[in-house]
Amino acid sequence: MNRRHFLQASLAAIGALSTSSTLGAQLQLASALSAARFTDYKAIICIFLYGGHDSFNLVIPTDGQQYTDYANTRQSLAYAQEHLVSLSQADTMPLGMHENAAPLAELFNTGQASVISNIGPMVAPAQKSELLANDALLPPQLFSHNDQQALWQNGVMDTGTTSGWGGRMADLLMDSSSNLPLSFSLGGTNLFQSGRLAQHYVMNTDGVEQFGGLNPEHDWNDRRIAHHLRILAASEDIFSQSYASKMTAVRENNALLSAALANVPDAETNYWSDNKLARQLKTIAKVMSAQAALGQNRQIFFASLGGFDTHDDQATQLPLLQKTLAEAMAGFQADITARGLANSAVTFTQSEFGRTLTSNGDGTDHGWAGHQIIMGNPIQGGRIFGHMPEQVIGNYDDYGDGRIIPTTSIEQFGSQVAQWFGLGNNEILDIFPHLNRFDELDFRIFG
Amino acid sequence: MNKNNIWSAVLILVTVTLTACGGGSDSAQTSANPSPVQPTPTTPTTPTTPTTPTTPTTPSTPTAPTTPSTPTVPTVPSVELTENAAARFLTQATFGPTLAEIQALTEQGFDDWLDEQITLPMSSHRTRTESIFLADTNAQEREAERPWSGHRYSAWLDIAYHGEDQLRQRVAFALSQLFVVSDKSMLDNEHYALAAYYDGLAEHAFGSYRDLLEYVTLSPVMGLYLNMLGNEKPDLENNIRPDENYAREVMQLFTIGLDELNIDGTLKQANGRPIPTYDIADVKAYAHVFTGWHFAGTTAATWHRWWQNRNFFEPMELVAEYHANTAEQQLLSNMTVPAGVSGEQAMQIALDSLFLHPNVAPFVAQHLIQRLVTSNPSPAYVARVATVFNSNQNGERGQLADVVKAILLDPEARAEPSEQSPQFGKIKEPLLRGVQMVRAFGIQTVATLEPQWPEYQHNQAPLSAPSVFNFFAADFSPVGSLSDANLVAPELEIINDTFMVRNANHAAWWSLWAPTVAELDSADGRTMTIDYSVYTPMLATGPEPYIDFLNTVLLSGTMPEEMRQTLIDYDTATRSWQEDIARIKELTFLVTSSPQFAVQR
Repeated sequence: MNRRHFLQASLAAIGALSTSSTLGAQLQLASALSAARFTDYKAIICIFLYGGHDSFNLVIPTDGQQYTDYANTRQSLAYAQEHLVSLSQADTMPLGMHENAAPLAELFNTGQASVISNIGPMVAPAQKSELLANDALLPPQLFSHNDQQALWQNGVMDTGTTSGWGGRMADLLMDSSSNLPLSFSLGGTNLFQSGRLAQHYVMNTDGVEQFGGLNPEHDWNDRRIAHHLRILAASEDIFSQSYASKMTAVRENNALLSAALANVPDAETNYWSDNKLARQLKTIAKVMSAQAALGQNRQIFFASLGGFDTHDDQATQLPLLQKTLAEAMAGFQADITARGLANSAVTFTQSEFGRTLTSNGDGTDHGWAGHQIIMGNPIQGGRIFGHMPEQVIGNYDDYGDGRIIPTTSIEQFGSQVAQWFGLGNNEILDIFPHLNRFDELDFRIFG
Repeated sequence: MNKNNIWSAVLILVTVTLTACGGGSDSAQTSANPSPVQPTPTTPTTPTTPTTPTTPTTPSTPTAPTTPSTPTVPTVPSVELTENAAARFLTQATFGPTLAEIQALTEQGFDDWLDEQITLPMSSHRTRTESIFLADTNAQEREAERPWSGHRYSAWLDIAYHGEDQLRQRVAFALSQLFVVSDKSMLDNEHYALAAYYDGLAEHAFGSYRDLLEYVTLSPVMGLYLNMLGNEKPDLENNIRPDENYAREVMQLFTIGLDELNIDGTLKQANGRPIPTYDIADVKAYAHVFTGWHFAGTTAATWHRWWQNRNFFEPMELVAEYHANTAEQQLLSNMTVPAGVSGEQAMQIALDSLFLHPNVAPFVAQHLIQRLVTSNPSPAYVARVATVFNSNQNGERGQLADVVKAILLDPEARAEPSEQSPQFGKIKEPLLRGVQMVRAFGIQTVATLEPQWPEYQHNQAPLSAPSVFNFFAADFSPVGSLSDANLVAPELEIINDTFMVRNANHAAWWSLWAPTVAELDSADGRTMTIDYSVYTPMLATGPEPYIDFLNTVLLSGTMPEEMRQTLIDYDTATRSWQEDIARIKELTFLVTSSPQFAVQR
């Protein structure tokens, strides 16, 4: 399969390892050494916007020829000028966001958030003419939802890769003496947090799910649990063994996490609304508050919001989605600020693709590059990082129908996050084996 | 055999109970009717130590045809089918074995059973959704105009529990994960429409794949979900081009997939790289063909006033004025839609071009095998099934009844545990595991079924996937031993830490805490249970007969010896102070919460 292929390639890239079990041993060794190497606490939070966010309709030219271009291109899907809230910045043309996303604009204007502009999956830097001439320069399965999700999350530009760049960071940072992952997902199982070894603990928005008939807190269950554990150990085939080992891990991790969260208060700050993303982020803030009790000085979180595949009814749906996103992000930032954690956390969005600048009447189709938001005290706020395209059909950066060619790669962005997270240069090359295909960015996202 | 004697005794008890509540489900049993048979404390006068061997004594293969490409060749097993072999088959082909079905199948044999199932009348989700909705006093008091999701899910569960057409419904569920539509969308208040769509899948489950593809493509439910409904011809002046959503997903997800396949499902390669089946130009071409379709009865005048024509129960119709036909469209399979042909004709050409693509057979075979039998089929197995898809015994292409038979009768599916490869089998879909548990014992309900929301327990509900990419990815492989062995286990993507716990709690509710039949009371919301009292006679000589019953009906005889011993030890340690019914429930829970029950092999 592809996976094995990739693994071999990447192993060759990082040097001497030959099988996944030696890889396991080496990573264990590395993480045992690295577990104690930090004294400070840091967390990254990835918010995945499933469906492909029309982010060229989040960050919008507000004025002059650029607004005219935008309005001409987007037609019935363009936001009216009077509904735009300005972003205070000097990096590029005057820009704004829809008023529904005002809390996000406010974060930007108060230096707590920035925009990574025109970012997307790239095999290597390439001009339009080169891309049109050579399919090998195109990311695999461009424009397909699940494949582009995989590329954003794995950071390798190979759809067969079964680890993500968050997971590979965790491989290098995890505490091998504990079974509790340092990665927590409120958005279900995901590739981003899957390592070669590192797993992620999937929570629900209410916190830790408690066992009933196998609840260890009631001693009348003891005998039943003891026999249940014997049955777990009696698994003979690879599927039941895999299930049993997961069940064992869940038992242990539930107990640890429940104890650590027992004394963590709920948010006391305003989340604007109790939307689906806000509920995930509230729980994330609580797990962050429990980091000391958990003995974790690095944590990686994943949250998600769906519904961005706006083929139809975009003019109604997209502002609502952007409102949900903006309110949840602003609420979270206020929450962790009140908890004294704001200097330790960086939150960013991902989404599989931007969308076509052309429309299909009342919606848009799958595009390529888009903008992403990054938020947190450790970053330079109020900035537009990277190249801001003009929204013109058939331009030098239009791969067709307004599918815009990216100018910043996921690896370039991710490597700055990894560096802030405390990883060394060789480790970053392990996480992003193709990073050297790209020049160093001419902007610094962090401090 | 002693075991069979005890079993047939239990079978009689259970059958009596089932007929009291099961089949006719509309007027299901009320709580007034307690467990029908007093568990006569039959001290079976045959204490002939029931040390039934855990490994079936006669695995002398009832094996399927060795040449599965001709599935109608009668393979009447000359050797008697064991109960375990029958249970294993029923785990793949139905929503779970019952003693009665096991018994019937051992007498009937696979072929006759399959032929009978294929001809059974179809249960209707739409009708059942309606009756459950109308009987729900809560919904009626709130003056609900249309059913909620819970009414439709309840109908689905009821049909899974009681429907006679088990094979058709099981295949329909597999198809609903291929031709995915979901209520997590604009369809979130359209449960009659969704139920009707599901009925359409069931109706086509044993028909032609080409017909099924056309049914799905022209369904207004799919039309709304993937935006072909109302898709317009281009208007270049306003930067408007046809919507590409259905065009893309019908290729990627419903017919051919992303890369060219060999007939055994492996990837074709060119210069060491996979060969894409289509590119953006193909997507655009199909997007043009798929313009001009709207709710039946729509005209050019009412195109933009769709609510006047809103009709989810008939196929979409073409409105020529909105169809793009000024240019020729080059499609796959070397087929072309000439300029100027009608939209209906163009649609036929487009569907043919997909149906005739060589990828369809391995693509569909792989999907159905993964849903019914095993997560990691051998390429040879895929090839055998794909061959039947390409041409059945009559030379017809895409005949699903023959494809389903080929899947279920294949030697790989029918191999005894001792002959299976280590990678054979799969994690059960959590929803199906929950249903299997309840079916194994028979459900007792009060008169009317309540709305139910199985997603809370199982992370899965019918036609409720998070996206068109289904509940889980077909190639999901969790970090650890499975991924190290290069094996996929798609279902584990949704059985995450939270749902490991909820699945175990679901088992605990149904085995430990469900009310007794006498306690059923709709006023208290206690509307469903399992009547475990019918099994207590099986404890007369010790726990072994009941453990063996669980082993067959829940694990198809795959219980490891150490697990069996653990169950015996647990019962031995607790029997002095537990009532018999509690002993039954405890044993049931330890099996239904086990990893072994989470797996089918």
